[in-house]
Amino acid sequence: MDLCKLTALELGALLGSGEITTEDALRAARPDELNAFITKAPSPAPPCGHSSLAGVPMAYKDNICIRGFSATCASGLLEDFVPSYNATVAERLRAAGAVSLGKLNMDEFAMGGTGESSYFGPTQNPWDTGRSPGGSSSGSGAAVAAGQVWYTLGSDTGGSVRQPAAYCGITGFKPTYGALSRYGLIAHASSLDQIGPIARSAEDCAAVLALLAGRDPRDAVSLDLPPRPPLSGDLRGIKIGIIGECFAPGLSGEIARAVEEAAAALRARGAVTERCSLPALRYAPDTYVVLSTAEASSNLSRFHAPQYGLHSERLGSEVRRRILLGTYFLCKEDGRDCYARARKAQDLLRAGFDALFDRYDLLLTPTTAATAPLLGSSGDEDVSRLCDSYTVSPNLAGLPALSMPCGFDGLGLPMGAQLIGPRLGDWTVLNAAHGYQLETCWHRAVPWERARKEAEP
Amino acid sequence: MKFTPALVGRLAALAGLTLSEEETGTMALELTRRREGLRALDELTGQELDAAPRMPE
Repeated sequence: MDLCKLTALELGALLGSGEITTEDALRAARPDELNAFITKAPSPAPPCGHSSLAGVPMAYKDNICIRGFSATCASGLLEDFVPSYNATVAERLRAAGAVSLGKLNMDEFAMGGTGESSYFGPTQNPWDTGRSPGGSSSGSGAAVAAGQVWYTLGSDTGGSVRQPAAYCGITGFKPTYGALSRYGLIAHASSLDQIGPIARSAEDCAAVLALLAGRDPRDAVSLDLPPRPPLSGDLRGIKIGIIGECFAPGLSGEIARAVEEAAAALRARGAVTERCSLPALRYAPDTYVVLSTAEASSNLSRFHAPQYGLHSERLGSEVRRRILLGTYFLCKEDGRDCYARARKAQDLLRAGFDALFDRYDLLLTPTTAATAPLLGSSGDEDVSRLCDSYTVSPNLAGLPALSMPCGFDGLGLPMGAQLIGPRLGDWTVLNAAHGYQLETCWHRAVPWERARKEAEP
Repeated sequence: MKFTPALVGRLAALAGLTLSEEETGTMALELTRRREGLRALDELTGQELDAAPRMPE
């Protein structure tokens, strides 16, 4: 049996029944040939807790603090930073018997969408090593897709969990803002940041969420989710709106068709789908630029101000650009006007979502407008703007959103569809994605199997 | 809105960043490009801004 093809819950069941041991899983885990890891645990600690995921090997994005492990944020500035405390999510996973294999590569300070701004070099996409796995949780996406670990934790400020999931053919979930404690997450933009799981299946993401969710007095915005219902995948009575503005010029025809096919699969599980409109979506990319850079400039100066003058040359150029732009939005007259407009546009977007959720239980969009770009390519600005509108809008409104694999394009690259739920509708999103994955098998595809088939004479 | 090297220098001083002269010039061009890219926000009319509901924090 190829253990790497199993979901985290399937592996957890074998571990729980005693059919295999964690050592078997660690031996089966595929080696990192993609620069997915920044730091590997020299000898992973044995599990010390019980849950459906006890003993299942996993890893953390390198902006999540683990006592005794470096937390570099993929920045030269923090190359030697070793936290003296654990993030709440790490404490909770440890208590649930998680086995951490280490810390994963990312865009520097989570600022980027390709993984290329990492001080430690880019991560490669396991489906095509000349391409990006997405970002900023580049290592978190690549490591799961490549069979190095069974699930990871990433962080998502504007799509950084969902976009790598889409590019790597796996499932990534951004919970409702506040559903997972951010204590111990090195902040990027505090009003938008959310930790989220990446795994093969929506069921795995739900299992991780169930272990981690719940209020934490050390994160003032953390909150309790409603009790977890069983994931049945039954979508009878669920009404899903397909946001028409997402199907704009710039969206790949293959992805548009794949998302329509995803809608058909959701209907096969009992859901009703129809087109809907969210005009304020057009403001989302600009709003994100203004609010995220303003908050990032403030967060980074608070965290590292004493070091800037001495070591600012150790920050990459993208981070410097965002700090300067954010400083401009906070300090200069025209910039402050942009900031005020961005807050208004955020309110328009939230009101637009509220109106849609009066009529629909969920919304469906593509996760990205194109499949994984080549490493080193600058990309098309209009396509990039369209992609941003899909992924940043749930962050700006604080909503749960999930990317699920929905097929492969003509180049054999994975495509992703996104489900968005109302605030605290996390289980509804996960149940719908589970229903979709009962109907389809895209989440079961693995890159090494295809590579083996292609190598056969 | 055009970012001049002098403005970039002032922003860098505010943020505590050290930039070389060459980097300041490059940054001025890049920041101008990014600011000019915020077309949708610039196009928000007064009517639309007034219509925006005040959402709770």
